[in-house]
Amino acid sequence: MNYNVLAYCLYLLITLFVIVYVGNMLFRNGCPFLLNTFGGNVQLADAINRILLAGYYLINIGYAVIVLKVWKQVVSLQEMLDVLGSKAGAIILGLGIIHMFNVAVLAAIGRKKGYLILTNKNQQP
Amino acid sequence: MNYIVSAYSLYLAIAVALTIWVARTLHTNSKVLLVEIFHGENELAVSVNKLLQVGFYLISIGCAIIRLEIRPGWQFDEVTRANILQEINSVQSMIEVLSYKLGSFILILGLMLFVNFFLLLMLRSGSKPRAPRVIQQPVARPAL
Repeated sequence: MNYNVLAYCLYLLITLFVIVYVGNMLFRNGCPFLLNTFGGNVQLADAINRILLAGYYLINIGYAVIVLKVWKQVVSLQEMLDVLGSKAGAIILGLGIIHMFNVAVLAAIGRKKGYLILTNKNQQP
Repeated sequence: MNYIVSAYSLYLAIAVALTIWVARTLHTNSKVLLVEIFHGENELAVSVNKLLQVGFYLISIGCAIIRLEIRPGWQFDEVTRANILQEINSVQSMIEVLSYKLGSFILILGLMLFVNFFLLLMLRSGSKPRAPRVIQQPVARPAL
């Protein structure tokens, strides 16, 4: 077992943990939004939420696994940590950017449809 | 048993398990949507759901088997500064080849899932009850 194989195992562990954690969080916190969109139909919102979660897992894990192909040869522990940091960091950073973009889109939709009204607390009607 | 054969068996096992998981997720969760699409006709929804599931299985597993073959690829070698055939003779090269195969198959599965899902959503919005159509009576021609 050389450093590359060790690095692959660590990389997969880290990215899978992050992806599953983020997916669970999205699953729990996206439910109210879906409920709002589908007019309070709990069964339908739940089903759609689960399908979306499966799609999220497939796309993210698929990409994270494909990226394994292009690693360079690692010969020392220090190099392994370098490569591991850059690769896992890229995946986590990408997830973060996509997540913030999603939140921005949801906020825009919510403002358009009137779910999200940002008002000053002192000016209550 | 060399590395390519073990890569094949790992690939097939993981791909088939993933296909079954995705198909079951779709099957259990699309029933609600299908019942709504068919206006509460449960039997029709169940049978269409079953047909969709079988189609999903056939396409996904067919795709997985077609993409099974692993050919040695060309890779740039830094030492000799030339392209050399990448042979699969270690655990590391097996993981690299296997990860590319499996990752692209997982992405294809995700695409299939979303295609199925958007199809259902489109059908749902198309099957909403509409206002009854007003048939226009032909206007009688004024007599000349």
